[in-house]
Amino acid sequence: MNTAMALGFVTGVLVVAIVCAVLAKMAKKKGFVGKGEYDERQQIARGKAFTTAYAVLLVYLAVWIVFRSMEIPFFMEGISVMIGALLSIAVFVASAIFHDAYFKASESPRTWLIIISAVSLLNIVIGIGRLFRGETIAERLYDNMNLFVGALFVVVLVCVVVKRAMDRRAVED
Amino acid sequence: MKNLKLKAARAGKDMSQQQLADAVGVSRQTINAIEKGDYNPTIKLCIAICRALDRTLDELFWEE
Repeated sequence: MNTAMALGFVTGVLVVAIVCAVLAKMAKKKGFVGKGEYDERQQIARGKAFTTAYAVLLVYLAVWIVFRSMEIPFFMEGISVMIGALLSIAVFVASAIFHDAYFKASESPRTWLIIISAVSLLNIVIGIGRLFRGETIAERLYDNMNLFVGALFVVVLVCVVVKRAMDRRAVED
Repeated sequence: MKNLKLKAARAGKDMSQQQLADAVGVSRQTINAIEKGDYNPTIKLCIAICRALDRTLDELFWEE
């Protein structure tokens, strides 16, 4: 990654962070998300999910160091480090969702389902577009963050949908 | 161990898990976990539940 690419990456991250912050503030103001707090059981469950995700990241980085030292091409790329971050985020989110600790007690998962679907679709469309833009799949894959971010959001989406189906099936006794 | 006393007290008040959860400010799943014995609530939450159900701590959470 040269300086121009690095600057582009940092700018991209900043723009996404600002857009997300503005959207989150608007959604909170309108009362769609962010009302209330996580309850005590959820806070404990989220702590456990963080711990698991942290362990996964450490293991991934250890594996990454081994494969990088073997000079396997994919692991030579900076994106492979970001994949470790995405992997640990996926583990955290999945764990939190299946322990009913991802959404606050008063939040509607439906609003989040719409947001997650939109973000995952956008990233997958951009990612697939980049994948087939004239270069080999392997070369594009190394440099295709959108595809991996899209995949992360698909995992989140699947977890939310599966959990909702499980909850619907569970009868309150 | 299941907390059948809590479940009975809630049913006696004709409240659903969701209604009790809303009354004490937690998620429905947290109330469900307490009733199933999967989660031990803090004393703060125990007191809130007792107040919502008009019961004492002994009546709901003391195991003989």
